[in-house]
Amino acid sequence: MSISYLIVFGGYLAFLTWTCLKSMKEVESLSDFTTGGHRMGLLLGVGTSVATWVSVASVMGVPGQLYRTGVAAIIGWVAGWFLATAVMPILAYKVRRPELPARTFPEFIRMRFEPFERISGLQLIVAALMLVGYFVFCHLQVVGFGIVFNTITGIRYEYAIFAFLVLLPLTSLRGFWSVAATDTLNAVLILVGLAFGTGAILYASGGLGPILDAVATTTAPTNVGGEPLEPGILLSPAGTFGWSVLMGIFMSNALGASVAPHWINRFMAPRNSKAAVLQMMWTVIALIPIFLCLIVIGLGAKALLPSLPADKTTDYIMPLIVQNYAPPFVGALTLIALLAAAVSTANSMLLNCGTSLYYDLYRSLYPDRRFDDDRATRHLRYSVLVLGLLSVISAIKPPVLLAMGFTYVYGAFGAAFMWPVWFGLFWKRMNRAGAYAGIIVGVAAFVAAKAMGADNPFVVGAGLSLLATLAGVFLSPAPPKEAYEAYFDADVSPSTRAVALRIRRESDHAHETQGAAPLAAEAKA
Amino acid sequence: MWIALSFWGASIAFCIAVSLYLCGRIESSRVRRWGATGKLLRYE
Repeated sequence: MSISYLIVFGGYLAFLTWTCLKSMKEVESLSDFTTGGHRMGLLLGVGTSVATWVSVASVMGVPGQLYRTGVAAIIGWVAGWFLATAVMPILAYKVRRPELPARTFPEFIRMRFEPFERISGLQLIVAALMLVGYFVFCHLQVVGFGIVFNTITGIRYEYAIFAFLVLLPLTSLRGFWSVAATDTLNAVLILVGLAFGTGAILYASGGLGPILDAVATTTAPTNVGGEPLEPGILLSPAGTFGWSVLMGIFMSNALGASVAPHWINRFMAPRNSKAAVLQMMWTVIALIPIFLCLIVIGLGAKALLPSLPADKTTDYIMPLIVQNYAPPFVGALTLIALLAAAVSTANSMLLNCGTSLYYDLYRSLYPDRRFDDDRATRHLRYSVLVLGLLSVISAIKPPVLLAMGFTYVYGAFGAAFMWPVWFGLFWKRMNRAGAYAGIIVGVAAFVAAKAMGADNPFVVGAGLSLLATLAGVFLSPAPPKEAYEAYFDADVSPSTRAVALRIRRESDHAHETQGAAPLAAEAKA
Repeated sequence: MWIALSFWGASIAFCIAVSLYLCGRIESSRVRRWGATGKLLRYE
């Protein structure tokens, strides 16, 4: 490891430690730990949203897919994820409307569909699905982290991934505020690192014109010794995929990601509905330069390094190209930006994973047990640490490419949650039976379609989920007004407010009892 | 290449248009708790 790398990496560690210590003061309650106490401002909100979007799947997976399949990756991943972010303001506008919002996605599902159940089956099912999905996401971030750390240090990948455990306590253990603070500075670091990296690639390749000329004519296989490419295929819209498969990827990324539970959680954190809408609008604007850099790097890599060594996947292209063609300090900055992307998304995913396990599964199963805040946050931290360790162990033999792994999980989330979330927020008639049918049929159909090798498993899963949801809704009674009122009206009835208070009190005895007392009295009156 | 980029550009334009429309709806609701402040891009 050169001196440039040591200086940049040391600075990055110092900054993580500083933000960790600073955010320690912010965490007071379980609500703070899970959603930042619903008081997040715009700057932190945009920072954490950008850094969560910019994961290893984007900073390493997207250049890798551009290198392998050409500009089709812009439609499949870049446009897909931007369309997901484009529809998010519509969801954020509704999710953050209630005076007493949910604190996690499974709790939101409970409040909307089973507000009177003591133990909500839907909350448990959703939390279990999240636990699996976010564990896969964490695993993919650790894989990306290991690839970059291996490139920087030369330590074998199987050992390099364990360095993730050193960074984990600095970013995740103080909950949402810690995640948001480190994410915001990580987002700046990612943008600066990628801008420098792009400049270096453009300089090395002679500019955008020579890159496009090389990509238009190249027949070099992705890996040395592989099948040669058809000339011009990398600039054709469908690339090496074909339209059917590409549309499946685009829809999984666009529609699936828009209802991914960690995004719904993000919409609960801002101070109000308008802050939530603006957060996603500014996030899209802030992501434009980042993805422009990734597109240039991905295509520039094909011009500079026509084929990868036979033993490397396309996920290695970004670190390899930066290390070989950028000056040492610029290379160090860009590679540390990749580490920042892995760490900033992994901490957010681990928080979701830990919250699902502890808050939505364990505590929901024992509603009569009392949990004080100290004990609760301690248990949450243990959950995050154990899940972090397990995701490192699972990453020793990575099974899929980074960007594809994200697409599978987003597809499954979309198939399961798309109709319960959209109908739940915009259709008063949407009810409990519809939610059960939609979620169970959606996820089962997606997994079955994927296992049978369908081109577009998302369409199969979401299509069958829609039919099941509508059947459930129309074959069962309309929901009580306490289930939907808070998402449609500014002033809710006393009974709706009382139900929301009860659910929050059951989950957070220490704080909600005090804070809710005046509201409860008002509700009773 | 341009077809791929136009997919991307359309998503960005859609996001900004939808967000401004929703902020306008919050303003017209005049509900302070939802973030109505009298100015389109201010939230408190």
